[in-house]
Amino acid sequence: MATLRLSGNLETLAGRNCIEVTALSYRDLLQELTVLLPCLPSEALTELAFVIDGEIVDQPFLATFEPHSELHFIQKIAAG
Amino acid sequence: MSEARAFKHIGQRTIRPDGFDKVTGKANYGADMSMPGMIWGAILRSPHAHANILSLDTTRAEASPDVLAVATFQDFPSVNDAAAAAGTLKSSLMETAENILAKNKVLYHGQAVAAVAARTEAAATAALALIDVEYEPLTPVLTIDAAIADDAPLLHPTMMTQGLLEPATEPSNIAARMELKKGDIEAGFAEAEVIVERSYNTPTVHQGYIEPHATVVRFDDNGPSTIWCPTQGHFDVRARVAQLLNLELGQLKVVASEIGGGFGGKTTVYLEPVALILSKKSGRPVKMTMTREDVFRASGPASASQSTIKIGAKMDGTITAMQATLHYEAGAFSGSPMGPGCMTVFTPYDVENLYVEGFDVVVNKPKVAAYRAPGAPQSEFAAEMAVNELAAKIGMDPIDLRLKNAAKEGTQTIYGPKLKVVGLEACLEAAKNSDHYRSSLGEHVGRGLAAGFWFNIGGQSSVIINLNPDGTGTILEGSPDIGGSRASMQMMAAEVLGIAPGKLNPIVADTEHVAYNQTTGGSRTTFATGMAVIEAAESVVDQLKSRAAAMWNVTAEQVEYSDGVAANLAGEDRLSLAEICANAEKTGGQISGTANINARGAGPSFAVHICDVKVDPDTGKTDVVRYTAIQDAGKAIHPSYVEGQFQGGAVQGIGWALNEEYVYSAEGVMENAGFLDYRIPLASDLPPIETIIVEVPNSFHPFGVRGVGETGIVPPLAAVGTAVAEAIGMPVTSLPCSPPKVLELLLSKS
Repeated sequence: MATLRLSGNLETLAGRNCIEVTALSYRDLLQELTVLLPCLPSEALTELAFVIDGEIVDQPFLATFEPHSELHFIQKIAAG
Repeated sequence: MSEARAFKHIGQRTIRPDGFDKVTGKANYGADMSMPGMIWGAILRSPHAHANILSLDTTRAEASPDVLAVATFQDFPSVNDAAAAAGTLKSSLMETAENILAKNKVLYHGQAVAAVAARTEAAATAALALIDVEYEPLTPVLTIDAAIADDAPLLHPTMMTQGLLEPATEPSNIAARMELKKGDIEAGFAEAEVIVERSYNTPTVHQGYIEPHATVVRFDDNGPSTIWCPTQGHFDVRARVAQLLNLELGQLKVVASEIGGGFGGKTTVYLEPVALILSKKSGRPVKMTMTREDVFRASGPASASQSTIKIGAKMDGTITAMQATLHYEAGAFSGSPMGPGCMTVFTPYDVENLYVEGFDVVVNKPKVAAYRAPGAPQSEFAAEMAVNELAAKIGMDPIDLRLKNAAKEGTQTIYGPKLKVVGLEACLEAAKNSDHYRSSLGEHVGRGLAAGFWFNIGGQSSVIINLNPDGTGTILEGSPDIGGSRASMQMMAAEVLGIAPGKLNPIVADTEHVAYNQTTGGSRTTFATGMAVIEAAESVVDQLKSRAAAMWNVTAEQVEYSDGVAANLAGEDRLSLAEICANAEKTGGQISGTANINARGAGPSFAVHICDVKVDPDTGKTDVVRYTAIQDAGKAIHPSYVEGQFQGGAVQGIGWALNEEYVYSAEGVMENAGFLDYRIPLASDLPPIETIIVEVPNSFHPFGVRGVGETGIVPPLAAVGTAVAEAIGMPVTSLPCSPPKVLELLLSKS
């Protein structure tokens, strides 16, 4: 199962810093989280950048990941 | 890209395609545009830093024969009272609108309140006196300490802090809180044999772009209205103006003029929506420009900050814990770069136990905007100063201390992901081996060293490459060129096509002539738009092979293309790119390659800077006597422009560290709103900025590129601060190290 690591305010909201998920795609992950962690609203998650194994994925709906993948939601980085 | 690769054009120092126009004055910047029938707009600005608007009467201005239009907040259809009543309003859009034209409260001195358009510039300025505004002045809140005090006047009476452990129950000037953690911070400090803890602050500073904001706008009922402006992102100007004025994107065309510097400060809108309102009302094209004073008082500077850093370590230099509390000023509306500040503060270090807490604080100053690596210079200044203090405390060379704890491939960052291959250790080694670091110091001279990190981003870019019948061509891109990117695009396309870069003309196209491009920012353009250029050029190569194959009556697989020449593998035939283009009409028509990508795999960037300063013990004046900037570029496409980015970042950081600051009166009026009193470094103030380009390729880019535009501004604050501290033998905790402040430190010592 892939591991979703939660940090910052997501950790605070979820009350835990990681969770195992069966999903292998971004879309399925969002659906699974509505059941596992209803305290994390999908609208909030889709506002964040999605990271698979250390790489920010700019097109998450096109991405899949592996059962051993490490996943993160992080603040989107804009810049100057 | 995993191994070294030979290039023909990449890595050369070609002539800049836009250089001639810029040095001869031919290039058209924002204020250079004029149109038949054009009239002028002017902005009425708030005389108060904090006040309620009791009444706003434009009757007299509208009655003036010279005035053709007047605009106020109520002219924003998306965010006016009706939209609010309908519940269709997003707070961020409302804040953007209020920053452009105040609604019922002014939140900083110089905030726009109303606008007029008149037949001449002088008439427009004069007509501002005909607008009657009645204010109820309120106490201004000008510092973080004042903003977070229990009895602080509230800028936004309904603003609740986001991100608290329990939902806020009382309004506050703290817009948001963020917490990041890794490991067990208490255990980390318990393990430490030595602890350093200190607080630091940095001032409000401006990006200092030379060209003030300007725009010319023509409203058109029957087709797209057109906006000309200097911007880092004309697609985002189009989106923001459309949102504010309730227009479809197809109703707007935005043309990016040449831009006289941006550095993050030209990623938002101020004048453009107002000019469009005035143009629509008057039926005439409208030009609006900011004065330098307007730019200081009413465009977005970089956040002032307060930071407390605590570091625990063993005597052998192993850092066991790092902790930060970071406060960032957002200006009048929420949205400081507190988030990236928290995420970057300790990223140069591979440490088990980390804790960071950040706060976004509103104050009665202009709403901040991005400035090169937004948020990182402030937080990493504090962290690097503390690391240098730790090095001194345990008697360890600051480079050795950093090497012992350096972030590397696999390091788990505090914001989550593990780093891929990065070049921090290579930069530290290059610094250690540099002539500068090995040189000795003179009297009253101090040396400082600091590291810096910035993420760099990818994102959406679109490119079209068209070839002409004579083998020349155009590269249509949508990334405004703020640092020589046209040259980089030209070189990358030339590398793939195997022709001289000068054969290709790179053009920054408007929003109607190329597909969507994200803003030029985040050090993304050479990386992401460069990837699109390479993909489009590869598509052109495929077409060239097919066309040659058609002429030889072979398959495309039987054609090899290199160095601008197609070769028939089934025979001796050869055709140059120009020869294939000359026959394009007979083999299928125009040869054109396009790419529309969302680039992934941006390579993070690290830098290490070394600074020597000499301090005059009698005046406190500090001179930088030697400076070296070392940074991982991944692969330098055009080394001169990469060095230019390193040098530009270093100089802006030196200015931030030594002299630049917004000076406010007690009433919240900026007292140094001009380049005479707001002192950016001049060429005559500085020694040559030495550069060392480190190249640890980014495997996600075909040529190995990492962004280089932003990281260079991160290390100078602590490199200079540490050098000054060493020169005077006193801790430096507050920037800028201007002569009065340094003299005060020297006097306190004696």
